Formats: sequence, structure tokens, C-alpha cells
Amino acid sequence: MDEFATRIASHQLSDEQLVARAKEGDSAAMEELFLRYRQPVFRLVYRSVQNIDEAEDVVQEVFLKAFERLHSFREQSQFSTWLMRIALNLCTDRARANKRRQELVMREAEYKLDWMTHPEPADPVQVAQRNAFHEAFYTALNRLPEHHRQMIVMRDLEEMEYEEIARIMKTTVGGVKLRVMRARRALKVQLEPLLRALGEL
Amino acid sequence: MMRSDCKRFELWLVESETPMPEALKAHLERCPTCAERWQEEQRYRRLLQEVRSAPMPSTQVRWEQVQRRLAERAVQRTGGFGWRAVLAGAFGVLLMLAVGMGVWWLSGSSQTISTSFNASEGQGAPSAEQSLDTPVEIASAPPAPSEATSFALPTPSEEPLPTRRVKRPESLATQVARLPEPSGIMGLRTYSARGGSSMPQREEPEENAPLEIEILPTEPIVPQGSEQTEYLIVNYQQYPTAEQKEDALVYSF
Repeated sequence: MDEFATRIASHQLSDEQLVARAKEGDSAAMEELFLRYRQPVFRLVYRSVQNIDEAEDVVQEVFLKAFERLHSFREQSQFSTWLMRIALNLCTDRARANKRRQELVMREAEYKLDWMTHPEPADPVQVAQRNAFHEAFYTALNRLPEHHRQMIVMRDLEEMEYEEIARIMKTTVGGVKLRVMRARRALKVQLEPLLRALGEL
Repeated sequence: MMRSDCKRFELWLVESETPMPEALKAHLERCPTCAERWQEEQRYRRLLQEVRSAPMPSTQVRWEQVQRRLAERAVQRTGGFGWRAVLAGAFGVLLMLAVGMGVWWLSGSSQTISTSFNASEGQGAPSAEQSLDTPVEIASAPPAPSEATSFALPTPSEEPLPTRRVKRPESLATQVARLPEPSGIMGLRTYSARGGSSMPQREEPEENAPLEIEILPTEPIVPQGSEQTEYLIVNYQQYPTAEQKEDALVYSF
């Protein structure tokens, strides 16, 4: 009952209050922060790494880092922004570490784009087509540099506000818009055969 | 005019949060480049919609996992510090031992150590004037033991043993081994072996030799109790009391 009451009480607290309690070592506050942001962090990470197991590893690492370094969180930004920044940094680290693996994925991507632009006798199942779009999109996304990929993930996939992205990236809204524009341009170059095929459908 | 409309259209594409203004729609009808871009943008948005509509898996990460790993990491950090402390402690002990050995070595080198010889228990001790080059003769010896007899050392005599000062010949190499110190003395002493031994050799500085022992030109080692058995008693002469001196006697053969 006490635990339930604690959970209810934690549920009603704001992020700031929970962070303050978590800094004092309150495990219930940490758990509430974890439950609040587990799925948003996972979505962002999964969009970046595109692998469930790897994404879950990164999610765990994000929260471990966040709670271990909570004392260094100055609360100049929101906890969620700080958490997303940690997640993006870890995704970047992971991407660098997996560079070799990504090269293999890129080779595979070429094959998939070829398949999309020169389709075999059409698959009548719409779901299969959607999955094919999905895979082709991500393989093209993987060909982008990390800073472009982050912009696409945050703005076009997660549909974050420019202001939020600017806070995460510690830059201005105008700077974010410029980066998004460049990232889209680079992605469209990669997606050109697929976009042309989409126009013909 | 055209350029500014193209730029305005591009900016609107980035924002894309408001419906397209009428002025831009008119511009698209006049500008084939922007019209082509707009078509490409629409295909891109359609593709994004397809991608976003794909089911997103839910994370299976549980708070208990994170909590457990937090605890493990905390233990690792503590353990890591413990290991560092242990290593630092071990290093400190080794350093102290090394310093102690060095001090002992230097202090030992200034001492004069003499060696005394005794043929056997209470029998035929060589005189002080006897030449070191002469093998020690044994007047009488106990009956020869069997093959399995051990080389146990005899009990030292309680009578004062004759001693003599030994001077190390310049040309002889000193063979050094380590021997436990007699009771009452901490540390290890250098000790020389008989001639013909295969022990490693070490050159000592002339003036700082910790222990001067010469290689005795005697017969090969024989089992204890035989007629040719001889006993070597090493006497450390720097002990202030008779008890310590007695303890310092080391028997060998």
C-alpha cells in the first residue's frame, strides 16, 4: 500500500520535483522518471539504430548515465531535453562504433534501392509494399552522415518542434532549420530512385 | 522577384507548418523548378507518412534492469577503488622492503665477518694458524651411515669454538646464496658455497663485500658421518652478547 501510495504521489509530481528527489537518492522518483521517458527515448533511439536489441541496450545506457550524472544536471534545460541529448550522443557513439557494420548495411541498401526501382512482378499485399518502403527509407537514411540523420529522425520522424530540437542541440531555431533543410536535401538525393518510383505509382 | 519567390518557397518548405500561401501557389505555376521541387516534396512527405505509420515496437526495458545495473556499477566503482588501494598498498610494501634490503645491504657491507671452522663436534678443530689451502683433517669420525642417511646437521658444541679471521683471496669469485638469518636477526644473509658448486656467481665490490668467504679447496661433499666428513661453522663475530654469538653459528659440511 505504501509503495502504491508512493507511486501515485510520484506520478503527480513534475519533472523538476522528481529530479530534485532523485538527486537525493529517491528510487521511486527515479523509477517515475524512467517510466515517463522510457518510450520516447526508445522511439528516438530506435529510429536511429533501427534494431530493437541495440535500441534497448542504448535505452538502458541512457538512463544509467542520466541517473549516475544526475548531480551534474543543472536544470538549465528540461530533464527530457537533457535525456534526449544523452540519447543522441549515445546513438552517435554507437554509430561510430558500428561504422563497419554500417558499411555492410549501405551495401545492402544499394541492393534494396535497386529492388525498389526495378521491381519484380508486383507484390499484391499492401503491407509488404509498406514494409519495403520502410526498409528502403531507412537504408537510405543510413547512408547519411550522423548529423543529418539526427535531424531527419528528430524533425521528420519524431516530429519534434524546432524549438525543442534547438534546445537539445544547443543551437538556435534558425540553425536547426538550416540543418534540417540540408539533411532533407541529402536524403532526397539518396531517395531519388524511390521517390521517382513513388511518383509513378 | 523570381529569386525571392523561390527562396520564400524554400523557406516555407522547411517550416511547412502553415498551408501554402496563395502567392506561392501562383509562383509554382510560373516556376518549373519550384514546381518540380514541390512534387518531390509531396512524394517525400508521402514516404514519411508511410514510414511513420509503420508500427513502432515498445521497449521491453524494465526499471528493475536499470536499477540492478545501477547497483552493479556502483559496486564496480567501489571495487575498482578497492583494487587500486590494494595495489597501492602492495606497491608501498614492496618499496619498503626494497628500501629495507638496501639499508641492510649497505650496513652489512661495513661489517667484518669471519668464519670459523670445526671439523666435527668437539673433535680436531683446526688451529688458527692452519693454512686455508690445507684441507681439514678429521681425527675420528662416527661410523658411515647408510645411503638413505640424511644430511642432518649435528648439534653445535657448547664449548667455545676456535675462530679465525678469513681474508678473501682477490682472485677468487664469491659465490653467493641466500641463507635464513640465525635466530634473533631479521632478514637474509649472503652465504658462500663450497668450491665446485654450480651456484650463480656475483662479483662483490672490494671494500663493500657483505660477507667474505673463500672457496675451500677440499674434497667433494661426502655424506655425514663418513671418515671424510667435515663440518663448516660460520661465525658472525659482530654480536655483542655470547648468546647471540652462539645463535649465529651455522653448521654445514
